[in-house]
Order: sequence, then structure tokens, then C-alpha cells
Amino acid sequence: MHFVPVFTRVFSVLLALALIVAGVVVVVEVVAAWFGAGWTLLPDDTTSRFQLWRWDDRSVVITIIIVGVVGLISILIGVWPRPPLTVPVAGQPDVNYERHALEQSIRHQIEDLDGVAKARVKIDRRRLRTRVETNRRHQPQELKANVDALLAGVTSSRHLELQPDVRLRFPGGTR
Amino acid sequence: MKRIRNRQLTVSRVFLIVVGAVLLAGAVIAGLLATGATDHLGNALDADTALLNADGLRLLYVHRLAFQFLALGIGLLLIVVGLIWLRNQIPPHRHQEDHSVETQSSDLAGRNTVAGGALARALENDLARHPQVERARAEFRGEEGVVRLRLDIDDDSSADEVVRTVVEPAIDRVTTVAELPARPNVQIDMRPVSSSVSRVS
Repeated sequence: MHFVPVFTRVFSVLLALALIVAGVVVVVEVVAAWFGAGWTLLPDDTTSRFQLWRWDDRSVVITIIIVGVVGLISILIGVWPRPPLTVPVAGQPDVNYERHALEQSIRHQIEDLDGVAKARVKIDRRRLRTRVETNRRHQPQELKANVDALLAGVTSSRHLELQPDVRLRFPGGTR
Repeated sequence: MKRIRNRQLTVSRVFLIVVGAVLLAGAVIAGLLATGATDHLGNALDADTALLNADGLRLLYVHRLAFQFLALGIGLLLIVVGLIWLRNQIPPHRHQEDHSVETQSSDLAGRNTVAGGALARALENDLARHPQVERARAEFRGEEGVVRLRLDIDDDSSADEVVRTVVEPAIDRVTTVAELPARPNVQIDMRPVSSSVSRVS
């Protein structure tokens, strides 16, 4: 489960709603001022409050911190690396594989290999990362060669421009 | 389709970065004043006075109309950006467009309308007949000249092969049968599924 798309959606909805509310408040107050109606949505003493609050007041500092933290989290979610939902097929600009389905398909193929106990496959923009576990104690390099060959075949037959990256865990080591 | 969701997420991330940068910049400027790291920014923003000091109030009164127009512009901009951003969160749904064909008979003038849903189902059935395709979903966007497909394909099949042997002939057939003005562009998302998985689902 990748959390970045979920955070992106949740934060986007919250901030979009906040922008709309802020915009409506500003527009209503400006129009109300033009008609001489005074403060409409905000409290009547808004001006005097701003004349009383000082920059180092606790409530002002807390507000500044909250705004800064929200801004920082938004930027972090925006720049955090996110695996693509689709994987392009080389030479076919309008054809994509759905990443999750492709990962599952490759995982099943690896787990069908003799000696593989468990496999994990993750695809990002450039790489096809595979973590393979085996219970074999002897000649793990043979199994790794089989996985390498399988992935080379998969990337070639499916026309994927991905660099396979295989890590094999066996009793007593990692290769 | 996943490619549309992908695009939506990218747009949302751009919005997040821009809005986040604006919020953070504001917080940093205010933080500099609150901590006393900066004494003042102009006369209106002074760390030793209130948020809205006499100079700031005077400035607001002198340029009242300009500030009101500026605030109105910013307010409208916030509403528009917020609405676009919110609309971008709506998950893509399939929307079929009907296709109209001029009656060719010389003694009977008129137009025939083929429902987009019917065209999509016909194409889905045509694609799903092929053993390499486990399941097909189609969306007909005649105005854009686009057909979007989501295909569950057999694990052993490659996308290239399915496009060449299954999709292209099916698109040719639907173009001819439905008398489409031109061969539509086809956008395809493929899901490789093993036969056992597809039987269970």
C-alpha cells in the first residue's frame, strides 16, 4: 500500500476547501464594505483585534507555527517520490500497464520458480526491484541466475524500460 | 482509468507544492517578526507593534480602493483555484458519447443515433471473445475521437501482441460498423492477470 496518493488526496481536498472558504470570506467582506454593511462574516471587532494582537502573542505564534507546518507538510507530500500508477510500454505511447497488476503478475511468475519461498516486487519509474526469499542453503547463485533470466525475459517480452534489481535472501546470507 | 488518476495526482502535487510554498513563506516572514529576528518589514510590519499598527492602518485607509480590489482579486483567485483543485479530486468515471450517422438512403432523410454505451459494450464483447483478453472495459469519447480501453489480459500475453492481434482489428471493425468518421485514437491500460486469479474474480 502506498500512502502518498492517499495523503495527496486528503490534503488536496482539505486545502482546496480551505482556499474556497478563505476566498468566499474575502470576497463577501470586500463587497459588504462597498455597500457599507461593515464586517459580515468576520466578527465586528476584527480590526481592533488586529490592533491588539502582537507578533509575539502566544495565539499569533501558534497560528504561525500551524500555517508553517501545514505548508511544510504540503510541500513534502508534493515532492515525496511516488510510484506511478501506470508503467509505459516502450514504443507504444498510448499503451500502459497498471503498475499494481504488473507487480502481482511478475511476483506470481517468480514464486512459480523452483526454490522460491516468497517474492516481493516493486516498480518505480526506472527500476524493477525484486526481493526473493529461499530456504535453499546451497547454490543460491543458481536461483538468482534463474530470477535474473526470468526478469530479463519479462522486461523484454513486455517491452518494459525498467532496470531489474534482484536481491536474494537465503539461510545465512543475502546476495 | 489509471492514467487519468495518474495525471490527477500529478496536478494535485503541483498545487500542493505551490500552496505549501506560499503558506511556508508567509509563516517564515511572520516567524521572523514574531521571534524578533527581524525588527520590521517596511513601516507597516513592525515586530515591536501590533499586527496592524498605526502605519499599517493609515496605509490601508490611504489606498483603500486599491487594497479592496486587490483583496477581491485574491479572493476570486482562491475560489477558482480551490474549485479547480477540488474538481480534480473527483475520480474519473466512464462517460460514453453517442454517435450520430446520417441516413444514407435517398428516399428517407434523417439521422440515426447509436448510444455510446451500446458501442462500448459491442467493442467490449468483441475484445473479450479473444482468449488473450480476460475482461474488457471501453469508453467511447466520439467528440475527442478517443476510445479508452481497460483490458485484463492473460499473464502470458504481451501488450504489444494484444494490441496488434486483438485491439487493432476490433477497432477497425467498430470503425466500419458504426461508420465512425475516422479511426479513433485508442488509449489502453492493461492488467496482466493469471487465469486462476481471473476465474476467482
